[in-house]
Amino acid sequence: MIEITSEDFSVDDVLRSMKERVNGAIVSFIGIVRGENEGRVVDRIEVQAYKEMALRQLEDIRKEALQKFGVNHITIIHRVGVLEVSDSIVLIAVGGAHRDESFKACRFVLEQLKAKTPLWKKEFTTDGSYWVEDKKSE
Amino acid sequence: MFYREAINEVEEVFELPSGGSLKSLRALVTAAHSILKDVEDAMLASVNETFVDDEEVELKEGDVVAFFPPLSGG
Repeated sequence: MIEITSEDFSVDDVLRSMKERVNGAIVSFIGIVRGENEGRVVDRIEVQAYKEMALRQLEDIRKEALQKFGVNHITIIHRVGVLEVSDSIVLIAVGGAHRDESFKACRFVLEQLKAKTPLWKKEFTTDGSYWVEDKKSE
Repeated sequence: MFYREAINEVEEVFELPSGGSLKSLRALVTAAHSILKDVEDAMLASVNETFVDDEEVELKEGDVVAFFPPLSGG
């Protein structure tokens, strides 16, 4: 499943949906809003998307990961709109037969999402608001 | 994102001569919005919702082009 939504998501519901006979491992990544960035106190963020293109990119990434790692299920949910500190931003969940390919697929999807999906974060901090330019380590 | 705020527009229509390239469209856009000139080097582009690296690619009637800043999702 691929989703770009302003609504919060239930991690439990997504993980439960992957409890199928073919899966022996479920790996998930949840990105949340951090209350600090480069010495500035972050109050909230706003996420914007070029939605139609982002959905296409995420579907391509999902298909590539399914094929490359041979996992069974991949769900990607990315939120848009105003998010408070500690709110969930993104969920990537992978269901596979074994842990190794499931971990690798999850990491692959995350890095591809960051590199190829038209999504942008604006931080509202105590020192003003800034559009974020992502770095590899974040 | 930043560009929309900077130029206060979401969509704009530009007339490009037949056989015009992505590069020539970008030149029209940055000429119309000088604030984008400073960030041009980091500008990404898509044609019909697909990333395009080749600036010389020829645009066709009805193509939808988007210019945007570095991505920061996730």
